[in-house]
Amino acid sequence: MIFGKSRRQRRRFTVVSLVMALCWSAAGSAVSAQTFIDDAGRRVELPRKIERVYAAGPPASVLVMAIAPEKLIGWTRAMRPDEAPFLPPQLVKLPELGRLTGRGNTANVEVVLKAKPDIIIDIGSVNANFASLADRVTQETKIPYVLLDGRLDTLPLQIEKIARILGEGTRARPLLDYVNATFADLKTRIATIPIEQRPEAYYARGNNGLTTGLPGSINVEMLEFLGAKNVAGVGTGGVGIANLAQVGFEQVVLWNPNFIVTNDPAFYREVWTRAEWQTIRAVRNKRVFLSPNLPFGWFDYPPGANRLIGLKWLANLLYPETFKFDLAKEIENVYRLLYQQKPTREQIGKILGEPGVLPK
Amino acid sequence: MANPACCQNSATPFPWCKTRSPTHSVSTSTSIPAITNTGTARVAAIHTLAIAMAVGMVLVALSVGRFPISIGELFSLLGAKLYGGTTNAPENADLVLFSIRGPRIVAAFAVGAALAAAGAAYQNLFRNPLVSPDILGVSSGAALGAVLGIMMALPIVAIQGLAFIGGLAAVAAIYLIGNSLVSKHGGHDPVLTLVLAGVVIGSLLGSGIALTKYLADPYNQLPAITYWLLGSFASITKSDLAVALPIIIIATVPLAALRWRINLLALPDDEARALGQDTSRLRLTVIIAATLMTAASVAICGIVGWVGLVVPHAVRLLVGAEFSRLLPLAMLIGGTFMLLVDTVGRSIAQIEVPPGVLTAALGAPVFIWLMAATFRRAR
Amino acid sequence: MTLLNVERLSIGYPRRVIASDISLDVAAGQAIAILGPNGSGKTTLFRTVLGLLAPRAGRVLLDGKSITTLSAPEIARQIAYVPQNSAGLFNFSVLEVVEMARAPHLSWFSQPGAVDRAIAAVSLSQVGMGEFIDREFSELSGGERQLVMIARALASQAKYLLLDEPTASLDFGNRLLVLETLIKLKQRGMAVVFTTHDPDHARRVCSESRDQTLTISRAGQVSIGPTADALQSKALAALYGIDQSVFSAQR
Repeated sequence: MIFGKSRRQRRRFTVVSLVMALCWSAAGSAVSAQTFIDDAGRRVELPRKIERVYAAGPPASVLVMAIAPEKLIGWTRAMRPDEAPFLPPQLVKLPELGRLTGRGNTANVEVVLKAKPDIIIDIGSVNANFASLADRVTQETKIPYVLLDGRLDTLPLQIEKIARILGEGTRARPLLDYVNATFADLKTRIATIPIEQRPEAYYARGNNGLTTGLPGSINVEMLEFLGAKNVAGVGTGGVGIANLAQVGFEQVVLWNPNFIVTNDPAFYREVWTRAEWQTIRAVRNKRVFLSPNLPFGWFDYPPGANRLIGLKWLANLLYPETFKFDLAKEIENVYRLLYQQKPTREQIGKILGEPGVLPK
Repeated sequence: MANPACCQNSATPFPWCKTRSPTHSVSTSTSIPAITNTGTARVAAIHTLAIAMAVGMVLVALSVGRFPISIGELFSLLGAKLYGGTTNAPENADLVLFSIRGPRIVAAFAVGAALAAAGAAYQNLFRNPLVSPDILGVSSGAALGAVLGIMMALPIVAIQGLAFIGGLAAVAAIYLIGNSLVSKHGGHDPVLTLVLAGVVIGSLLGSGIALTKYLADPYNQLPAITYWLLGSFASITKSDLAVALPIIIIATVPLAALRWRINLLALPDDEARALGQDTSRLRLTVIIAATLMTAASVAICGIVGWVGLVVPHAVRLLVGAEFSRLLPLAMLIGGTFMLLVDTVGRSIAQIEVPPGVLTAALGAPVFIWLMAATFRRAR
Repeated sequence: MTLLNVERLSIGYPRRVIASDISLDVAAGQAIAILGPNGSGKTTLFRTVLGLLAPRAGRVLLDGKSITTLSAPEIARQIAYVPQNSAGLFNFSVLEVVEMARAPHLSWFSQPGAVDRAIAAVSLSQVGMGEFIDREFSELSGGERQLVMIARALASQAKYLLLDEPTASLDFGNRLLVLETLIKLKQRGMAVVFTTHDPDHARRVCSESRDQTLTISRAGQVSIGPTADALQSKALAALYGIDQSVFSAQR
């Protein structure tokens, strides 16, 4: 309703882009090496040399930073003091350029031009609206604009495509390997867990915990990826027009989830004291968890590669019998791959020490 | 120019004098005309119907919801609550009824009644049937307060407090600006000045809200802000009611006590003052009462439009403008309507339908029908 | 006995005096017509006498007491005001409109009772509007509204009645009805002060020797005297700033 698009729309665009991609690959010989077909099916003429990349949103920033940090020319929003220590200083001090195209477009095209990017990369929802906005930016600025599908399960593809655009196949290799290994490990082991043993999970947003992500929305991709049952998915077939929705507490009682994940510290604090929540199984069993958010969120925002570490964290919490990842080690690995800097022991301790991150 | 004296003669050649004289001749007798008031029975019937509808709606609201509670279970739970004993109701039914559904029903009814009362008072005060309780910026002020609270990630109680204070502050600012303009440069209509000050400050607050939304984190804060601005009864708890309900009730007292005198505010200012009414004091009293009840409502459930505008208007079409008749019915019907809207909004789907969406969807046809009926009657 | 005295009154606003040195004594059973061109301050004079506007100079005495020392209800119980063209915005009934005149007799939190209702009903029948008691005010014709407004003034049981252009925008028949009503009220011992643009209306209501006519010129010049003198064609020509010959031709 507010963000992104419906499942149906997404499916349609996936089909459209697939068909288009097939057409283009069939006509492969006609496409020069300099031409890139993005996930919206748009033909983008790539410049010969790409030294400066404008990432149009945080998901793109994260991947460009992971693959070729020196090519990132700025942030859509300047790094905040609590986020800064996780990144090398030369990345932290990059200027704030603002967002482009619809996702809270605070960027002034002139600012973008002044930063002289060779290319603009945007990762997120792919639909006609974003495609036309991308076309418009290119028309205005003559800067090529690549739009990539940002769903979690396409992360390996995103990495490959960015590596191809930036000509950084070798440098992207370790990250790609890590992602592929992680995905494969999670998928095989989760597949062995019987459906009835999988938690009935509820994603609580907002300070009252009554905003939730509907099935197919980018907000609950992690739950779906990890095979948990999103309680908001049961019988909400009729409301597939929204990503986020408000629900009544009565509905939560009816769902009675046995696992709650939230991104709101205020809700996490109050869930233990608000009388009505005490009847919910997840609260009674102390299975309510708060996702860390440094330097980027672990669960749903921004919806980028930063969620990699969240996958392992959440797998541990959802299936404690099956997954026993050493989170300190995993944080070290993922953060080094993505953020170009090995986090200190204190930093890791601080993340894991926040209330709600590890089981009570 | 014709000499009017020509008509003094009873044998006047002017037919209109003759035809009119039986009704209009100046009577020297002081016989009291019978106050038949054919409307009284109708008003009583409307009252009875409204009370019956309110009671019925509360019962329906108690038994309808996502969590199934049958009528039998409902009464057994109510009985157990009142007289003790056990019930056969399913697990958690007790919690749903008394901690979730119950407070929500009370809140919806109270907020509907408060918004309708404030709207009725303001429509009288501003002599305009298309005025809503927001005209003096209470909603914009509350919204800015709440939105800032959400931006700062404050706890719920603090956000509600900020909303309440924001609402009061906006109205106070508008009132003080309007009043100082009128007292410095006399001879201007104080009501019109208030409206203009309201428009100016309201748009200023609106731009403040817009700026905050613009700066908000689009993944996390923006949805929270949007949901708050849409209004919702979803998260009402007993503790919210414990603060808001007394404020609403206390603010209703002056409106009820002054119910007849508030009629005078519907007159042009000079006319009311010539009837000995201190209009600025009465106006201030009404503004304070209406602001308190609206701010308390908005603080707990966000902005719910429409009810405060249309319910008093519709009730006025039904029973006339006289405020002592208008106020109780507007509150009763406003509360019932809000409860209907919220009951539908929380029952038809797993996700909540925002009350602001349903008020218009359910209310617009009713209102059009009411207007048609009134026009028919007037003809 | 003259109980409403206007003494050397200046009327207007802080930065603009409209007319000054107005003196006027109003007694029971007396009618006073006020004539003057548009903008000469007739309504401003009423607002000042009613205590709605502070006098720039001079004073208004009611029963020997300056109205600035009286409370608004005290003034309203003595002086009633019938404004020009009261528009019926809301659907109040005629009775409800007239009952509003009981406001200065009631405390803040009380409602009009049976006595107030009876007074309102009697007032309506006194102006011949008894049958309209349950009608909606906003559905009445202009003349009917004007009579209801006069009934409202009566229901306040005031001794002094100030009417602002009571005959404006009424048709011929209604104008006569209103004027007849004013004469009847005067005969019943009320003091009737009204503004008008029609000298004939002044002559008709203020026909007795103790009745008077007050004129205010656009320049703020005030004169008062017996109606016949005040409305001589020479005086009228001067008041409205027109040539006397035009005036004579008109007559």
